[in-house]
Amino acid sequence: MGRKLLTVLLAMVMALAIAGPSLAGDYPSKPIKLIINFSAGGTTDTAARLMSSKATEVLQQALICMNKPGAGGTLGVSEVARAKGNGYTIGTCNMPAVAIIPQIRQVPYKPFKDLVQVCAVMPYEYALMVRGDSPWKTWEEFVDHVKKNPGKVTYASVGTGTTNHLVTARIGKELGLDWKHVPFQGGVKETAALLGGHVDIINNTTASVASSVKAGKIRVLLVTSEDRLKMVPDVPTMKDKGFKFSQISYMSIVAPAGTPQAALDKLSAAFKAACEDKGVIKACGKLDLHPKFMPGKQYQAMLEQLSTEWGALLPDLGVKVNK
Amino acid sequence: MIQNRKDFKLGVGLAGFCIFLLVYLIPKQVGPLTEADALMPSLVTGFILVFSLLLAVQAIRRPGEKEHHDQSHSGGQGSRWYTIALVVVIMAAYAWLLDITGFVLTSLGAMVALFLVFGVKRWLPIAAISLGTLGGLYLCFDMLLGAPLPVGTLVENLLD
Amino acid sequence: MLETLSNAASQALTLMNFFGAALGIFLGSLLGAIPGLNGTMAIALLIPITYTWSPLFAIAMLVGCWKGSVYGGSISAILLNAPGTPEAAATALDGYPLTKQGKAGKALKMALYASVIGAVFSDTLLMVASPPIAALALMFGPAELAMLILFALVVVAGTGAKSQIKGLISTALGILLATVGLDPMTTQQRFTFGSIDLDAGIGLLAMLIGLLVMSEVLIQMEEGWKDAHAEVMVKSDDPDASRVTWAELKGSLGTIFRSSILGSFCGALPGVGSITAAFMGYDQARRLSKHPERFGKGEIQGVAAPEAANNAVCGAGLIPLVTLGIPGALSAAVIMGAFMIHGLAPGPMLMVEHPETIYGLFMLLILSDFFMLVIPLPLMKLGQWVISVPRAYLFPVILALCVIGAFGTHQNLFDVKIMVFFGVLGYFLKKWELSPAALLIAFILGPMAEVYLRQALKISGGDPSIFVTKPLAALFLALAVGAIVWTTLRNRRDKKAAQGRVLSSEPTAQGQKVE
Repeated sequence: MGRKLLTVLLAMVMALAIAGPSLAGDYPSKPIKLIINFSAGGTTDTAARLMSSKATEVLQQALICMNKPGAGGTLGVSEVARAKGNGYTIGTCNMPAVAIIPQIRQVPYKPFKDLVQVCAVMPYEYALMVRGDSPWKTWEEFVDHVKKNPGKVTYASVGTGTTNHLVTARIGKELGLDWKHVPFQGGVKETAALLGGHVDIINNTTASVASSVKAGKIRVLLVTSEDRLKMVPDVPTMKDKGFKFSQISYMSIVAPAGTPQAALDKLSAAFKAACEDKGVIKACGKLDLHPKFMPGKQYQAMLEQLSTEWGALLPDLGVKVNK
Repeated sequence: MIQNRKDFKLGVGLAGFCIFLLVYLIPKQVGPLTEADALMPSLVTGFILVFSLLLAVQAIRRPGEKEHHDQSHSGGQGSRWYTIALVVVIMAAYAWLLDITGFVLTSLGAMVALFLVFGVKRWLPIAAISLGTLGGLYLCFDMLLGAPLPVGTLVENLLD
Repeated sequence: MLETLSNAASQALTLMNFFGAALGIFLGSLLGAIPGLNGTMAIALLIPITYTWSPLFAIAMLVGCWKGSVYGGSISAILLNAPGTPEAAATALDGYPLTKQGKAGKALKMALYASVIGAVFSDTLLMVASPPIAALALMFGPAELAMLILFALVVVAGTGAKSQIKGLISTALGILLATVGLDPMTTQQRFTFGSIDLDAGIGLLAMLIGLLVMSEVLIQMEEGWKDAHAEVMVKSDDPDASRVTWAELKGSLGTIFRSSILGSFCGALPGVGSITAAFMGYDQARRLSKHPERFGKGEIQGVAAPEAANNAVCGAGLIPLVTLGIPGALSAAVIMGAFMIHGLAPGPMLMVEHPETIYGLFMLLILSDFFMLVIPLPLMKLGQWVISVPRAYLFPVILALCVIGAFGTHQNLFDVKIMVFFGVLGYFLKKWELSPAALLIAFILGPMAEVYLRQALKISGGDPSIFVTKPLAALFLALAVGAIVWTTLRNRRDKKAAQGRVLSSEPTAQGQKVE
């Protein structure tokens, strides 16, 4: 009796296992795994899920979103790099996980060999911000203040080696500012420290503090992204202030190396449609997120250039470099 | 004579572990003691070293409390160490095989093995409870929540 | 204002939303009660599917799920000594001894009442006093938080250990384990052994499941699981064994109230969280009790205190979220995603732009606290039935749930390996009478202390006087020192009272080490 039952059970399991989707038919013939490299509820996660619903429509296959947060986004990216390049595992990616972190510490993937950029879907928008009740109304006033009080002013970032840290440090270096860097773990604690007056200025994504900016609790002094922001159209960008660089990081979609070109093209087209979809734009707009499509090749070239550029600067900015 | 052998062994063992950490592992895995990253691990390891030596010294002079042992062993029906080791081995195999043979097969195998180790010999309850638990979990995760349980590389290859 | 409130009421108080809140509480307490599974996992997994629902329904359900799971964890903690959620680790300390005395029903009901009172307290605070509390929370910068965490660490260090010295070893081990991963300041790798999975550190939930649940299975095997059944089901001759008497509830009200304040405070501070709250609640109950020696042996107040505290975290955890856009607790951070996906950007404008939704949510929260009085009742009965099932049938299921629970939160197979590792470690810790609970709380507090200390020193430019010149920091530093002195004095007095067989040199040796 016992053995018979076991045989039947095993047979059932095998039958279940074999009755999967067949290989025949065009890509995609089964659901695609989308690994989000930040935690559920964050900006990247929200944007990815909003877009994936539209991309699903175009691809005619479900995108299954999974969160693999941790270690500055490298954990999720390494999971993608490790996967088979068949087009059924893709992930979200941030600029530092590819262009900066691999130069600071060991990661188990080669950023430009093990991964292909499918496309960039959304620029993260960054700015330098101070408290709403602080005396500095403009960037110049703030720089003046730092120069008059060398070694007293503190700036916060979301962690060592993030673009928030590196860009701010580079600004300080070019202007000859003597100020102190305080790394926080993530934008939430950084913003709390600013609002509580424990640090003087922070570099953070603007979307995450939109509500506080509108309420006047936080003042944006300098936009560190390339273009002016819809949220604060009057605030100048770094370019306006004569800097030759800015804080460029896109949320992009990556696939493991070896993914067939046909699959990459289809995925890219699906996300292009999602970025340009009115519903997606409106839903993202409520959160001050602004999707913008960029072809994978173009973004990849940009990343390689950023990688060399920042790599050369890291030691000067006081960041320990891996080997 | 050492009064509390158990605590003495624990103290000495921990102290040895701490010395290994301080001399070998921290310099290799964290960095030289002069760096800020290494301060906290070294400091805490140092604390454990001191406490464990203290524990060992204390154990030499003070006998252990005996009362809370006999209370739990009243029945005397406790599993032998090898049964416990077997459960650990099954769990370790469970964890490592999940990636290869996937959730369904591995869990089923592990649960049946565990039932057998625990002395349940009748197949009906084994099958009912295992399949009920796994079926419920599969339904919740894969169907309701859309959070797929691991398929396993082996099963994936079979499917392709 | 009145119009806003009535609009809010008509928007919020619909049958559908009631159903959402009730469903959340049910799911939460069910998942919380199952050892291995937990509410944080439930919320993280539920979030994506709530994206298509109406905001109030979704958020009421998620918050309900959070609250339910915080209570639900106490069921498995009390009945099986295998806390279903991290918050319930403190509840097991006295809850399980009560079960062994045949008073499981009493412990479960006390946990429920304390939970509900704590939750109502903190939701009321959320509704009436959010802005000042948020302002208070902001006053805690790195320096203040460093001293607060230090105070918490001093106070709860060694909870649940048999001797002071073993408590301290457990605490230090917890801090050491927490250093695995990336250095919080320099992001250099520490103890990662070349594994990217370890870069992210040891997963709290995976570790907890191993340390508290899997290890308990191994321990109960060794202690004779065939008899464990009989032993657990001891019939108490106390007629009040399965209910809370009025006198007991009245006697615990002070404890519950203090725990509620502590819990709300911990909830409002970003990142301090419900586990800390539960342990601090437990500790204040023990310290202020007339019979501290009864704690750990089945003191009913030792069940009430942590439960009131950890439930009070939920409502208060939303305070900085709705006023500042900063989530106070881990689950609140995930719930923030539900706000965002529905276009409710958390922050100071939330109350201005969507007052009806927010006040509606508050009403639903308070209402759902009362649902909590009823919904878990069948679960309690079910739980009491489950522990009468022979362990041989129960353990394989629990072990499989441990694996799924560890995997589920981050859908990471590495977490399963971590869980098994800590299951074995937890077994040995318990055998050596080291305290897994103390290790756990130190694992949480240790790295926070490290980060805040180093941040504060960065801000001050390496000058440690920042910890005494800032009044709040100085206050908590003084409290920490006071706690050490008090504990040392008390120990010495207790030892004298016990007319020590103990050699006279020992108390001082230990006293020095505490500092």
